[in-house]
Amino acid sequence: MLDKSVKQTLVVTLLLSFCSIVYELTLANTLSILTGNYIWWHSWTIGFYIAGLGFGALKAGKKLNSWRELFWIEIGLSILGSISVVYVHFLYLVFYSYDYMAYMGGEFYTASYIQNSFYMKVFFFVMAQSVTFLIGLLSGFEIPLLMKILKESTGKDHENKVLGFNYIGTLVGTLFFALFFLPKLDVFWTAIIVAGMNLMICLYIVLQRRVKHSPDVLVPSALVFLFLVFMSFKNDKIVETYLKIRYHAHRIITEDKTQFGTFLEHLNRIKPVERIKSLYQYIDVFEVDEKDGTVETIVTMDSNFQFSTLTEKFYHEGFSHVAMNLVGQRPKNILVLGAGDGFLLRELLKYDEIEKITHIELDPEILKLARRDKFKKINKSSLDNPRVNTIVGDGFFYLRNTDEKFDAIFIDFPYPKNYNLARLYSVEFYTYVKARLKPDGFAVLDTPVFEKKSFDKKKYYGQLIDKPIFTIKDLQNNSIILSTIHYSGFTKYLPYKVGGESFVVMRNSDTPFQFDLDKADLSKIESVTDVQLRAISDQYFPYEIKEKYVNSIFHPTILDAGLSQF
Amino acid sequence: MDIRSQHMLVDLWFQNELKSSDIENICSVIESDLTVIKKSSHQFEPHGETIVFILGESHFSLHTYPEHNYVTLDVYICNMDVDLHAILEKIVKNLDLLHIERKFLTRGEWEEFDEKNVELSPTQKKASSLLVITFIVAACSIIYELLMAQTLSSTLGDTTFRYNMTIGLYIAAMGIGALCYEKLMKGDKLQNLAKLEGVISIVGGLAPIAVLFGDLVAHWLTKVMGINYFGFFIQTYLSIFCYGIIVLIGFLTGLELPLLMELGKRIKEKYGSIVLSVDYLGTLAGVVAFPIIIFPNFELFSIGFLVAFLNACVALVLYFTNGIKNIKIMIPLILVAVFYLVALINGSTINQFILKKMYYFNL
Repeated sequence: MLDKSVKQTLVVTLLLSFCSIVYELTLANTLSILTGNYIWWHSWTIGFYIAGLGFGALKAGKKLNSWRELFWIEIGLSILGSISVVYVHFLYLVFYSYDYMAYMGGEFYTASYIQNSFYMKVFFFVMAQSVTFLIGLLSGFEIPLLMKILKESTGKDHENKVLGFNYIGTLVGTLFFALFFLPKLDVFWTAIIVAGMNLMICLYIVLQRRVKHSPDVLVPSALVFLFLVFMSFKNDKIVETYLKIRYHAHRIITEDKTQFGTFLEHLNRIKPVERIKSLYQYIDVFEVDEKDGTVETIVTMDSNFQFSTLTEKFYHEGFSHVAMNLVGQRPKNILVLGAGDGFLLRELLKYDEIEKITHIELDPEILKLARRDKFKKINKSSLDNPRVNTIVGDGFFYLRNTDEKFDAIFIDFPYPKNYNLARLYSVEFYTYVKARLKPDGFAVLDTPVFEKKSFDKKKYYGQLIDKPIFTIKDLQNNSIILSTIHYSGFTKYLPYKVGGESFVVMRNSDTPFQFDLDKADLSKIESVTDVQLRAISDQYFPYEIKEKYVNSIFHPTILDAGLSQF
Repeated sequence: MDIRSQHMLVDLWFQNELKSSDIENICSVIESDLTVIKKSSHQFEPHGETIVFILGESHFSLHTYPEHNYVTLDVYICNMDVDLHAILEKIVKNLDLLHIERKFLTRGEWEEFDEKNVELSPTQKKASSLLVITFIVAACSIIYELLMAQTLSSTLGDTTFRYNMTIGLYIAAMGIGALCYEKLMKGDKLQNLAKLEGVISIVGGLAPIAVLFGDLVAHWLTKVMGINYFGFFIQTYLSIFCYGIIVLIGFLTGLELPLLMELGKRIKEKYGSIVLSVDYLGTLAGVVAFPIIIFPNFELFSIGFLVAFLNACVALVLYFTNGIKNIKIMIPLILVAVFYLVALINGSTINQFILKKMYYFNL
C-alpha cells in the first residue's frame, strides 16, 4: 500500500499534467482561431511544447530539488497560463491592425507590403511560440522533480507511477479540453480556470507545510491569487475590449486621426460587440453608426465578415437573380447549403415557380440569430416559409448521402480560410454537387475570385476600385477555384462579380450563358444597378486550368493561396 | 579501444529454503552463456558458500546466506556486447524468488580519458548511428499521428476536435507503452527494436487507408440498419475504430523510446539522456516538416507509404549494421520495405483507386 503522502503527490502529478496539456491545447486553438490556419499552428505549437518539455526534463534534476522549487514553478505556470491567451490575442491585434489600418487608410501598397512582410510574420510567430516553449519548459521540470520528491521522501523509486499518472493526467486533460472546455467555455476562461488549478497546487504545497511558511512564499501566492481573481472579474471586459479594437479600431483611427487618450474614450462610447459561441464558431454581432444616422449591423463568423445589413441586398440579389438570368432557367426543386441567415431564401422565395427548397445549415445558433425580430424583419421570416424545409446538419454529408436530384443547388459557405472550410471548396464536394444535379441543373457558388480591372478611369467612373493590383496570388486563387470545378466534371462555368461580391455559376448542360440584359427578367432586382449588371459581360477573371491547382480534401491547395495570413 | 566493462550486481531472496539445485541452476546458465576458464568454491562453517568463476569475459562470483534464504551474484564482463539483461532473465526463470534487487554498472568511463582518444572509436560510430536512427523514428511516429489527425479531419470533418484528440491520445498511449515496456520487451533489445519498427511501419503506413475503410463500413451500417450516421452507435463505432489506431501507434512508439534509451545506455551511460533529447528533436522535426514540406507536396496515402518506407529502411539499417542474424526478422522487414517502395512509386494510381472504391462509393 502506498502511504498518504505518496498518494497525494501522485494526485498532484495528475493535476499538473492536466494543466500543462490544457495550456498547450488552449494556445494551439487560440492561434488557430485567430489566424485560421489550423494545421500549421497546431503542429508548431505541439512541437514547441514538446521541445520545451524535453529541454526542461534535461535541465531538471541538476539544480532543482524539493517542494520549494515545485512551488515556484507552479507560481510561474499559473501566471504564464493565465495571461497567455490574452497576450496572444493582443499580439495578434498588433499584427493584424498594422496592415489593416494602412489598408483602410488608403495606403494599398503599404498594406500589401506589410501583409506579405516576412519579418512581421516571424515577429508574430516568435513572440507567440516563446510562450508555448516557456510553458513546456516549466512543465518539463515538473516530472523529474516529482520523481525526486518521492524518492527523497520514501527512499524508493516511484518513476513508473509518476509517469503513469502524468500520462493519465494528459489523457484526462485532452478529453476534458475537447469535450468540455472548448465547446462550453471560451479560451479566455479555460486559461483562467486552469491557472487557478495550478495555484491550488501551490496552496496545497503551502497548507500541507511542504515548505516553510515565510513571506517569500505566502506573498507571491496571495498576489497571484489576487491577480487571478482580478482577471476573472475583468475577463468579460478584456474580451469586450479585444473585440471592440478588432472591429472598430481602424474606423476610429482613420476617421478621427485621434490620440491614444481620445481613442480609449471613443472605444468606451461604442456599444459592446455581442459574441455568440456556438459549437462550430464564434459569431460576433456589432453595430456601426453611419454618418447619415442609419445603423449598420455586421455579423462575422470566426472574425470573418459574413454580412452587413446595409450591403446584403446587393450580395443576395447577385447570388440569386443574376445567376438565374445568366442561366436563363427557373428551377422547381432547390437545395440551399449554408445561408442560415435567411437572406438568400428571401430572394429565392420571390419566384413562384420554386416549389420546394431544401435548406441545410450546420449551426443552429445562426438560425436562432436569423429568427430574432431584428433580422426577421430583413429576411421576411423566410426560414419559416412553408416552401422551405430547413434541416440542421452537415451540408457535405447530406449531399453525399441523398438520393434526390435537384434543379439547382445554391452554395453559401464562409470563405475557405481554414481547413474545415476548404473541404467545402474541394473537388470531392463539387463532384457530389454535379452528381446531385439534374441533367439540365445548375449550381451557384459564392466564392472569392479576383477580377483584373483595366485602369480605364472613364469606364469605372463612380465605382470604388477596391483592389488596384491583380497579383500572382490572385491568379493562383482563381486557378484553384476554377480548376477544382473543372476537374470535378463541369464543362460550363462562369465567374462573375456583383457589387464587390464574386460568384461562380456552373451548369450540367452545354447551353451557353445568357448575357443579354434585354432578355433578362429584372423585375425582382431592387438594389443592383443596370451599370453593374451590364459590367458582367466585360468582367475578366484570369485563370489557368491545371491539375496541380485542384483543391482536394486529401490534398488542400486552397490554403496556400494567401486567403489565410499564415 | 573500448575499455569499458559491464558490471551486474544482483541480490536474490528466495521464497523457500535454499536448495543446492538452485545454485547449480544459476551456475549452469553462466556456463552455457559465457566462457568459463576456471572454477573455484569454498564452503564456510556453519553455513554459507562462495563460488568464483574466472571467465573469458572476466569474472563471476556468488555468495549464499542460507540462514536468510539469500544469494548475491556479481557478473563482470569486459565488453559491451553481451546482453546481461537476457542472462539475468534466464537465471531468474528457474528460481522461486521472493524479491530481487539488481544494479547495472558501466565501468571504465572517464570523460577526460575519452577526450584523449579523439579519433572516432567504434563506440562513437555506433552511438551516432543510434542517434540518427532515434531521430528518424521519432519523426516518423509523430508524422503518423499528424497524418491520422489529418485523415480524420478529411473524411469525418471537425479538424479542431480531431487534432486535439489525436495529440492527447498519442501522448497518453505513449505513456502506457513506456509503462508496459519491461513486461513486453524481454529478450534481445536490438532484435526487439527491429521487430517493433517493422510493426510500426505496417500499422502507421496503412492507417489512413484503414480510416477510409472504417468510414465506408460506417456508411454501410447506416444504410443497412437504417440509423443516423451522426447518432450514438455509428459515432461510437467510428471513434473506437479510428482512435484505436491512434492509440496503437502511440503505444508502439512508447515501447520504442525506452528501448532506444537502453541501447544508448549500453553504449555509454550518458547516451541514455542524449537519446531522449534527440527523440524530442526528431519529434520537433516531424511536426515542422509535416505542415511545411510533407503535407503540401504528397498525396495523403503516399505520405503514409513514404514514412513507413523510411521506417522500414531504418529497421533494415539497424539489422545489418548490428549484425543481427535472424531470418524471421529480416525477410518480413525486406518485404515491408519493398511493399511500401512499390506503393510509393505507384502512389497516385493507388490514391485514385482507394478514393474511387472507398470515398466515391455513393456517387
